[in-house]
Amino acid sequence: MKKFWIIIAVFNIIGCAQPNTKTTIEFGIVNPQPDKTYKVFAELKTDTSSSRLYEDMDYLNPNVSDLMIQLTNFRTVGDTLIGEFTFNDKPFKQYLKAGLIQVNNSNLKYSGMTITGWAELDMIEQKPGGFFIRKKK
Amino acid sequence: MIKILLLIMMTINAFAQQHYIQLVFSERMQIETILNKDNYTLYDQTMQIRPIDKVGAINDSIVVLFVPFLDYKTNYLVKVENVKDLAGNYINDKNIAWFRFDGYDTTQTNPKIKIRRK
Repeated sequence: MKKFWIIIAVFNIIGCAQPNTKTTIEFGIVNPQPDKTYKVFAELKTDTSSSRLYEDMDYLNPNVSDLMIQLTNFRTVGDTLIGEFTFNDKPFKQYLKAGLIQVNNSNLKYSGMTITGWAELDMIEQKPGGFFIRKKK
Repeated sequence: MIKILLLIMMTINAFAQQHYIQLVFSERMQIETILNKDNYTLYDQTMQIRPIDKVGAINDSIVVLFVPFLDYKTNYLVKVENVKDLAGNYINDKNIAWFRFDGYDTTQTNPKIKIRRK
């Protein structure tokens, strides 16, 4: 009987585990140039008191290459190239800051960093959930 | 005395992930000697030999070394030996040149980025 209760307890612990949810963020590169490539950086932290990404920095000095992410599902909407990256949700608040540099394909020189502000991962603005049209009776 | 003026230029073939290094000799050279890949050695800053994929000639005093992707913020050294000028003189075997591949360009306009939840 004792063993039985232990097994139930183990199942309960497993059953109570947090669902493994994810948040997909779209990164928009505004007015991308055909002769350039882009490197995207993402800093994810529990607080916003300090950051490794700052405006106009050289991404190798200090080196922040470990923050580089590979976007997927690229598509173009208007003047913006959009790619996606998915973050694992955590049971605590996470803040996201993104950075971007542009590499000139012809000579491989790269621009200084452009950054976004800090945004709470859960609170980043979403597209409208639904939109429809219909004829009024 | 023959010198490599070593105008080093780099660019990328976006598909092959390749750079090239352009070498300029101070005089006209015997083309078969400057097209021989074995006459060139590329070292990184730890003096490790880096591969050279192939050599091409623009004319008899300018060659291009095609090399795999070089690292940013890294010094490289090119050594040239056994090449001959039109008169048959060998290049000085201590003829080396170095360059640094930096990459940061403050004059380039920064791109713009925005984020939103999907």
